Amino acid sequence: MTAQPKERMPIAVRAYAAKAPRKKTGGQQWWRSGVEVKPSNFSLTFDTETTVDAAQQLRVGAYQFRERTSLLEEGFFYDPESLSAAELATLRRYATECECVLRTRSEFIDDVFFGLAFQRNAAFVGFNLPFDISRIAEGHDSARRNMRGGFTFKMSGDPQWPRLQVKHLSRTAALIRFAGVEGQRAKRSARKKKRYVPVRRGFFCDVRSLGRAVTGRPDSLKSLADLLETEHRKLDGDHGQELDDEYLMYLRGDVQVTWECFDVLRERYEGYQLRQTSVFHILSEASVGKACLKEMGVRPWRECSGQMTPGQLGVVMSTYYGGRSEVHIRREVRQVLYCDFLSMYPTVSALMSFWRFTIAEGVSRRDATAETRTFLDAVTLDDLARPEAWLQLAVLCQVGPDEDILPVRAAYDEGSQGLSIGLNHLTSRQPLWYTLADVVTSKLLTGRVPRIRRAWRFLPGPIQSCLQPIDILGNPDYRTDPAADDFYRRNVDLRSEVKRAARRATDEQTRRKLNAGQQAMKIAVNATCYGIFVELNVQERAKQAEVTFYGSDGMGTEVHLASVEEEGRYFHPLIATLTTGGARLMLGMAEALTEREGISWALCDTDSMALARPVEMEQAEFIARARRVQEWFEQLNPYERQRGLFKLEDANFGLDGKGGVTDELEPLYCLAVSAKRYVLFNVDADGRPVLRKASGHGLGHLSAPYGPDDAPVSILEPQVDLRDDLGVERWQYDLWYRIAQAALEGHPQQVDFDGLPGFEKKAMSRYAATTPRLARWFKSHNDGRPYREQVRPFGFLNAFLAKSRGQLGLPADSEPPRAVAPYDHDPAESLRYCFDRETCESVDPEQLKSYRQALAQYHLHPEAKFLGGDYVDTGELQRRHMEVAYVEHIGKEANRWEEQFHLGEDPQAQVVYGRSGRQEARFAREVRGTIRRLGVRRTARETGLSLGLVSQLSRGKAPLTARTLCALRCVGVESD
Amino acid sequence: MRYEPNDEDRRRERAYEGFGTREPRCSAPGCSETDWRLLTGSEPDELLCYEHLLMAQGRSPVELQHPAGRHNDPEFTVPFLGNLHRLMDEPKRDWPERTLRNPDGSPMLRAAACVRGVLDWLRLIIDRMLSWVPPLLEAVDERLTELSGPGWWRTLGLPEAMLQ
Repeated sequence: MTAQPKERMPIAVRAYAAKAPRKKTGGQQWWRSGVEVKPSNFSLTFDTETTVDAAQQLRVGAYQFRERTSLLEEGFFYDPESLSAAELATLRRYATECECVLRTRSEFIDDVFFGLAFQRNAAFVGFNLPFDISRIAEGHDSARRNMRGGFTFKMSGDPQWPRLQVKHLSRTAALIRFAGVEGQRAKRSARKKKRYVPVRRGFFCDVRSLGRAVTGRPDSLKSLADLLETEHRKLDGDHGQELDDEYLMYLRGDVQVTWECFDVLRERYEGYQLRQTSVFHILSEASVGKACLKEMGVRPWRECSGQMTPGQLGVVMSTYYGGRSEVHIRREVRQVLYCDFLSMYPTVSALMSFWRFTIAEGVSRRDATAETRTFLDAVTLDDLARPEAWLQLAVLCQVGPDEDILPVRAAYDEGSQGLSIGLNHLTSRQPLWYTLADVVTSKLLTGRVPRIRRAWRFLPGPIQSCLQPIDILGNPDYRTDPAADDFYRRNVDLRSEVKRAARRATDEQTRRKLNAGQQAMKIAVNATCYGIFVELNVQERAKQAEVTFYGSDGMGTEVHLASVEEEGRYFHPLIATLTTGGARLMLGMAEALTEREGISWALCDTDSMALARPVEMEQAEFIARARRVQEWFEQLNPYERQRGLFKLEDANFGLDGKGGVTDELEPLYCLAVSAKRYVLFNVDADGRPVLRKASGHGLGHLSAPYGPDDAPVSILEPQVDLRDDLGVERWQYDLWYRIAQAALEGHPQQVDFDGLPGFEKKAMSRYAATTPRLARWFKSHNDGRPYREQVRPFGFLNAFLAKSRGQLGLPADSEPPRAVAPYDHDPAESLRYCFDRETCESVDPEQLKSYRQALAQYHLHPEAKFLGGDYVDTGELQRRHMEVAYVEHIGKEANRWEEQFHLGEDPQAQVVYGRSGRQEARFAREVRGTIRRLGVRRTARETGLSLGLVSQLSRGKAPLTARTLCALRCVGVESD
Repeated sequence: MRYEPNDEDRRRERAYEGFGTREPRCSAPGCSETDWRLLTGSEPDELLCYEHLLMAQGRSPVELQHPAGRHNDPEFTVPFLGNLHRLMDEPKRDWPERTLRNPDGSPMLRAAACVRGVLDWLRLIIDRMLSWVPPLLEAVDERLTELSGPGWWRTLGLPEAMLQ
């Protein structure tokens, strides 16, 4: 494979940042660690209904106070200022008829929220709790300390009640807790006896988070209730309408359904037998994974002996890259076989025996340079079909890249600061660390052995002594002994057994129970094999603090940052990097096999690949060769009861007309635009595309311009389930249909959006003010308004896309409007209240893009990672050849990605540590030498830098910022 | 329906939080006291019941209880073991403040306190001595039905007089 001409560019690698040790205060320990009392048997479930203006202020809410399952009190609460006299009369009458208690908001807070629930350590239950909490609060502020980045809500004017703190974690999860109360918690007598009185943090369960964690699906309350088959189901209702009996029944019904969902989810979670982790601590699937490890007595690696030094952790982190996602044949319709690897990460973990690392008492490291060189020289594609070869891959290599094909993280798109990862040719004067799996991939793809400078082999320590067997789903037949079994292998095998049992089950209850069980197993395996090992949470600080980061050279460099990464409990970056490296090797092997078989591939995405038929090849021949690729992988299958490691997806088979598939292969075609942006379809007898799988990438942020009922009749109805099989909404399906249709009709660039009903409406995104930074957008809007009329945290709003400065004919110093409006399903309705979030002035709809304008180039989206990926380019993409200008060290990728999405790219959201101290010293030497050679005045003249700055640089007194280095390039300072 | 809260729930929750466990137990050897009202301490493994706490402090486990309250009848006392004293006094927390303190020495309030004191005694005795019996009888009946089938009493040969 010949490399393209070199492109000099900075690259980024992950670094490890050590926290400065906590200063010892010298005082006595006043907290009681590791002890938490469970909630009482009481629970308070509540929900609110709000106005539909920007403030979304409370109108009326409903609640249930229960002891276990028995209902002790049911009632409504309301904001007296939001209801008309007639509405209040309706509410009073309805409450009396239903024997419900009616309270004002403040009475509810003081008498029920705190007086009953808080005082009795009750569980607080709701669906999307942060939103409801924000509605019933009296005021808010930014949270401090551990909850920085979140909000603190003042719930009551009574100082005896604590504030509530809410920190948004993801779209479906938030940390919620009570703050400490003012003054002394313990009486004087208790303090004198040094008796501990803990802060009551409360127990909050957002049913949306728990539903996602336990069922693995992001669901609305309606679909969650359907999925869980609760006794009552969510009723349909329109928000914001005048209060009447129907509306109040809907609200009351929501609370009942929320409670029922909570009850079923809690019961289901209890069925997992994870007794050491309370259901109130389950925020995501990863929480379930961590609970599994805790239940088995697996001690976190960071608490074991046999630790790595921070420098070694820096090296390990520098080798970490995420899953590989690429398009190879761009904007060209090709017949494909779409295959995916069975449980990719658990499979790699099983092959490389990572469970042994997970349960080990630390890891040890030894030099393996010679043996790695020998291994690399000898290894062939067929050697990797032997599972034993994979046990050799727990190695990190320091490589001198010279046109090798390796993962490269860089800002490929010049117009964007965003970093993306591409498998490209890489040349670097500075040695870089990679996993052995990545190095082997390079050999498979280039045929050349990369130059290995050093290699470290990692070996697991002795098995931890306190491991406990667990009965999965509480069934002794599904016993897993962590010390004797490979947890991943055992679980995948057990899951296939449970799935088979569910299919055989004759009664509905058993089938449902078994299906819930196999879903739980899937979640447990996926959650324990990868994500938790690279969990890093970015904590923002009030002011910059000193952080020492360790990069690919293993040296520590001190920097001052306002955010710091904190490790998750099971942080073990070695397992994480080796796992994703192994997954990339799997895809690399598939790529090499396609080449060997004389076929091609259209796209790959983490664990799947679409094998593509060369234009001149017969279909039968292609299928036979693709099947050989598939079968080749069967040699590696680590499972006893599960066949098909590189298996065909359902999309490859014909449809049986009843929502299922036949056993017959149906020609499947692929049209891929860029990474993660593709559609797979069959072609029917009339030459129309029959979509089988489509991507919502780049569309998910837009609200649906029309509902399923308004879909154009000219578009073939979806033949498979939209959500479960296609993976998109109806309007997204229609868009992809038109893109595929245009490609089949021979005009792929001109996609016909006519007839798509909502496409002339203004493009709208849903947004929630989930962080103080986002909430500050509305500062000028809120100024002078009473609190109840202000835009508050977690409120929903719609954001509109403004046309570009050029399209609006604005001068260079003015910005297009940043248009937001109160949330409404209907963009036209929402648009009536649209205002600029900066100036608070209303926005002319003419300044906003329609769906048609916003999506005009969706099907042409460039693929900057590779050559030949520009807007109108089609066909096979070529790998770029990157030459490393310098290495920048970064922290967690996609930090605050939701916020970045709404705000636009924010370079500050990415934790950037910069260059290592050694690099910095080298640059400084070079800069000083150049300035001495040219003189201060001439350097300043030629670079445009100030005399003072150049003078300081010549004495090593000024920092070498990226801007300074850029300016110094014109006097020959090369920042490599 | 409006729920009338019982303040004992609140006190119990506060106590559990202080103990650090929902299943508190006296850590003194041989003591099986689990009543939250009698336990003290702030580490789950180091809790002591009141009597054992008194003994640990070198004090007598026997104390004098004022059935009508110290302010209503300071002279009439009954000696009780510490744990029982605590149990007897626990309901006094729910007495009206004026009845318990009787700041003006009202004879009516003193009479009310005496009646409340006796009622608390009776409730405690009934609760302590009888409340465990019905669940036991029901559980035994269920087990016997399992073992010998419905009408188990006929097969056991119990005296006729007992079956009336």
